Amino acid sequence: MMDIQPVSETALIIRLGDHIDTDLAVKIGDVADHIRHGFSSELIEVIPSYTTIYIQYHPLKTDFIRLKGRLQGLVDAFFRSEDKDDRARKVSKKITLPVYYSLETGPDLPEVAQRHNRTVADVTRIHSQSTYVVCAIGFSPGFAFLGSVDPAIATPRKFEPRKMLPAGSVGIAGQQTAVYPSDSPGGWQIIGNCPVSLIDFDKTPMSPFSVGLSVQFQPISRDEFFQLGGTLWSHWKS
Amino acid sequence: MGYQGLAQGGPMDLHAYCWANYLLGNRMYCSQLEITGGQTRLLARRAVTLALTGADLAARVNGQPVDGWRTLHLSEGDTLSFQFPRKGLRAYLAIPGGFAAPAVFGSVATVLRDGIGGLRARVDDRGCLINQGDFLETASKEVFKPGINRMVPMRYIPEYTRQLSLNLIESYQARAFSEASRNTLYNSRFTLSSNSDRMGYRLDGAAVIPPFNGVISEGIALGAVQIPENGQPIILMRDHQTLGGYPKFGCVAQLDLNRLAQAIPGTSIHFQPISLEAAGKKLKSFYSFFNL
Repeated sequence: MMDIQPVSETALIIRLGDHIDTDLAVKIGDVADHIRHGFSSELIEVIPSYTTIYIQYHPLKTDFIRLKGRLQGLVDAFFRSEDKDDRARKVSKKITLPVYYSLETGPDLPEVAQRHNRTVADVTRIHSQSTYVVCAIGFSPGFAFLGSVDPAIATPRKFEPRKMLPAGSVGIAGQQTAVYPSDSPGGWQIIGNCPVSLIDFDKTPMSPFSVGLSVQFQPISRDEFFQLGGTLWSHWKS
Repeated sequence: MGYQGLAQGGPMDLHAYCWANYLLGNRMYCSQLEITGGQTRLLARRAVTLALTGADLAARVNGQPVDGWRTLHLSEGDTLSFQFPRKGLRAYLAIPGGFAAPAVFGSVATVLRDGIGGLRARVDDRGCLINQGDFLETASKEVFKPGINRMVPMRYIPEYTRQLSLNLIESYQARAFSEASRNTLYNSRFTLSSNSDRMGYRLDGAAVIPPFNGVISEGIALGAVQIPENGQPIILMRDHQTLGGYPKFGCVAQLDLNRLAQAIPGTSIHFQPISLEAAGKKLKSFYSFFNL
């Protein structure tokens, strides 16, 4: 499906699906890149997310009718050519992130394990076995929503969000997982910590994530965690 | 940079901001100070020409009241102070060429929530972007222009009233709302809540029941009217998050957001529909006039 609708005097939204699907997220990420590079100064923002691409444009440089025509052609052509090299793309865009899964970095491991009648080791094994796809980036700069967590460990958000979490915290919320790129409040179930910096406002791009990227988590030891610059946080309250 | 989750930021009241740069013959990207609520005192370290627009914050130069929406000249050692809001909420202070501030991704906009902006491009240890005692560097060496004496024509100076009618462009999930919800939205008055910030303005009033509790998170436009489960609308302002999962009825016309940005809590708010074409035409003439 494709539907293009105006949302304000300077923005429109392209709808490409009606349910969350990681394959669609991969396509949407690619189409969004394609749009970002295919147009010049008339577009201000191109924001892909799960099933949509939001576009903000300069109202004197273009208008909805003109954009709609061009976008329709571009998206159609893209989806037609996409079918062929779909698989190659997916494999080529992948990053691996180290995670120290432990009670000292992941205070919610016991809660997640208990909920599913599993051990803490099961939870970390299952979490690090899946390959995830970035479905959206938002909430805060560089915060990537990754799908989909294995139903065997999927756990709803905490009833009461924490007022502060340390940067690098790896969380689960339902069938989504994410790494908090900076210290922030948050309600996700925290199961570990990734010691690698995931946001840098002095770099372009500021974050390694983009919609459609594949992400794998690699379990690391306590020593490796410290070697990679990880630090322990002493303010956990369950 | 919205695709990486960075909020856009920018002046809350673009109308007052643009006029302040216009009075000085500045390019529109020249940075200004947005002074919210007053309680600010500035000392001129050298002679400088200013343009002051937006809210009436009881501005004084060396203790003497001065009018806004015009240029003024300070001598070295003069003090410009802002007390409290008398009309409106945010004043804009421009100087020739703008203030010097380090750009982050090409922008000097401050977004406190993301920790970006201010004089050092980042929030400091104390959680501040500008501190007492900071020196505001100018981007241009020539900031004293005694020959410039301009004021904004009366008809472009808005009345900051306690009653506001906002034009609403229907979009996003508008068609899914029930007839009853639509009537509530258009036929009742809402009150601006004090629980409002640069990210979102919350309204209190009759509940506008949304057709569903959530949508799959999608990109949010400036001015979007989110309707959460409790039916109390939230209007998304300049520092709005990039994605959201609440149903949205549409977007407040962007020029109306400028007046909304000056509204103080307790202001009575009413919505009326406007077509995308009509709102777009007004915005385009604004952009053309100020060469945005």
